[in-house]
Amino acid sequence: MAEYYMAPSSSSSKTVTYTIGLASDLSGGGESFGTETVSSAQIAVAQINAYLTASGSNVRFALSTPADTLTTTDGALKAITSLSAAGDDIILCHCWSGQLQAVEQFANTNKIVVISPSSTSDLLAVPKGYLFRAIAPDAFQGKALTTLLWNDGIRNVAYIYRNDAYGQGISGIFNTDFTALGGKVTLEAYDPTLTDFATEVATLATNVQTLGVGPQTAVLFSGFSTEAVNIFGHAATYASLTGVRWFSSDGPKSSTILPPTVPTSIGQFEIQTNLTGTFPQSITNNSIATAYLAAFKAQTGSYPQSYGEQAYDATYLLANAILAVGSYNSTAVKNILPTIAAHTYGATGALTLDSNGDKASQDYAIWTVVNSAGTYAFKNIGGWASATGDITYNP
Amino acid sequence: MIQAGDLVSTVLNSFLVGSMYALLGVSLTLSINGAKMYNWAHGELATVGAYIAAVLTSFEGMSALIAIPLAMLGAAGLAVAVDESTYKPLVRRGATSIQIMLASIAVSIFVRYGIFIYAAAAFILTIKANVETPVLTSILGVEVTSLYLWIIPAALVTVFALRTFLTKTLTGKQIRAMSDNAELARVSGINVTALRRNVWIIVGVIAGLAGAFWAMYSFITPEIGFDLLVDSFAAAIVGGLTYDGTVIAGYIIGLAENVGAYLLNQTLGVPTQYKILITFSILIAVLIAKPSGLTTKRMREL
Repeated sequence: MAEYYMAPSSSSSKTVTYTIGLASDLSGGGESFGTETVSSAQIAVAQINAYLTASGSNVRFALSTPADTLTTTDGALKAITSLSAAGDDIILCHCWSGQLQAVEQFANTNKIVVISPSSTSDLLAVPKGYLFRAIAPDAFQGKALTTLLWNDGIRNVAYIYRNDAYGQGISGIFNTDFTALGGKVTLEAYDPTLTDFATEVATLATNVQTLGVGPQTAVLFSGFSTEAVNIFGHAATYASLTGVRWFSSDGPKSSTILPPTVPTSIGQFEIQTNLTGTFPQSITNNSIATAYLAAFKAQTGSYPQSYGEQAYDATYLLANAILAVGSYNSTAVKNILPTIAAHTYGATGALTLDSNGDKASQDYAIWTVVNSAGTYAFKNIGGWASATGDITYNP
Repeated sequence: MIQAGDLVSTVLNSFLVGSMYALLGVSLTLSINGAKMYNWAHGELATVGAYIAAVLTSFEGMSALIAIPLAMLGAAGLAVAVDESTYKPLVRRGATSIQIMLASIAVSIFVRYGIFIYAAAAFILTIKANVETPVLTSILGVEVTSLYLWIIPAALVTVFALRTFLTKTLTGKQIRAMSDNAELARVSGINVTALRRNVWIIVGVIAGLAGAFWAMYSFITPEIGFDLLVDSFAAAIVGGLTYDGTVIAGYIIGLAENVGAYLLNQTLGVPTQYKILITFSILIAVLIAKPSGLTTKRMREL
């Protein structure tokens, strides 16, 4: 359980229930991430209510019926609008960066607190008013990727990324950091709304050959799982692209890129190219994270793959802020949230926010794909610590 | 710098994609000519075919040789069901073509969200047909898989069979007569109602085949058919709403948006993400230069 900033009040015997609005990708490419957010928020609220009950408080928390953000910007705006219309002005939204951008004006105009566990674009690392992020911007992930690739002897990188706030942000940071070390980077953006990426992969193959196929050259991918399946499928047919290592940011880390959801030829490609990536996760042993993971496994039958820890922490932050304010006042919650966060330690470690309302630091797990007796799975092989900037590998 | 192997791969892939555009475009052309309507729910027929093929091969372990015909049947069933439940009653009530087209948009949304609900519940919002496609050969470092042997010949055979059906069989000739003048066909003793049902069965079968092939080729989502509809409409319009013309246009669009985008990127540095503009540039250029499409008089006679 996350540490509380202050004890809940219990001045009246009548139960007071505060509803935290919940918006999440329940359909579209982000569905697997969105359902984990819902489960994680439910676990957090159940724990908070158990604590409140045990302490004799008359306060309880509830989650709204999840509003589907459809993995689109329009869907996110409609979800926030409908929650606000229902009176839910303090919202946990599994919003990607593009979605968070889409809801920013409406949220600030209508004084709606929105906290995202999954928006990481550095383009949003600016003051956002009522918008917060329980995850650090990609400046950290860009540095983690730079360290990962450079330490592995990579000097030439063909970067392919989705042309949105997420892809533009992380590719820009990586390009700056990697070239500063003396590396060479080619950048290729793709339109994520396309149904096929054959041309993009052909261009990527040409870029790799221009950089030189060999152990010092790699492909770096920043996109979502839907695009990854298509891109990996095409790439598997190119000798130039199977002849170099592949790296990835957090976006595609979903079971939907692994057999049996996809043909084994794609799983073999991921093994052959030693696909390795980063993912925002606490890399130190943390009793809160351990308890959360156990609760998640008990509720869903499996461990979270994506932004569950961040959603769990974000739910605690909102609940703690409401408890501290003592009423459902979104402006007061917005004002006190940074103070609450600065004194809260969660499943992802210290939850301190920076002046932009974003998590001020972030560690990253290093993952790869393994094939164990025909079963494909992700495996954490190490981690990048934001405090030191170093990578340590698991024994 | 242009790499020969990458260019070859792009050309080959263009024929693969072009074949699927051709199948969807030809079935769309048949619905426009035969049922006299612009069916915006056409893409959803492909989506249903795609999901049936993907689910049966991925979760039921079914061979593609069985799953694909079932996908075609499923799409045909949907096509007939939608016509019987929505379009035909509207025609009977004297609805205008605009009203029927608007109804097809509503049907498109209805079916798409129905698939969304099913796919979300089954955790298959993104899925690919689990059909292994072994490597046949390698050209300049690019592997050519058996997918090419599936899709390109099947598309050409299907279109040839449709062409033969329309020109050599009594039912086919009746469909063409109905396309020219439905009222005249009716007073000539042709059962237009039954014929219309046949049209929708054929439309569904071909669209379902295109969807099943797409599920073998790439990932699918509930929106895949709607996304492919743009290219299908472009093929049909550029092809002058003729069957031969639509096939040729399908391949032209496939080549233009893939090879064209690759060459523009490598020679002028134009980002590949703008390749959809190539499709619409062709569409606009053809409509301005030759509103009847890239067709000959003989093509239009079919």
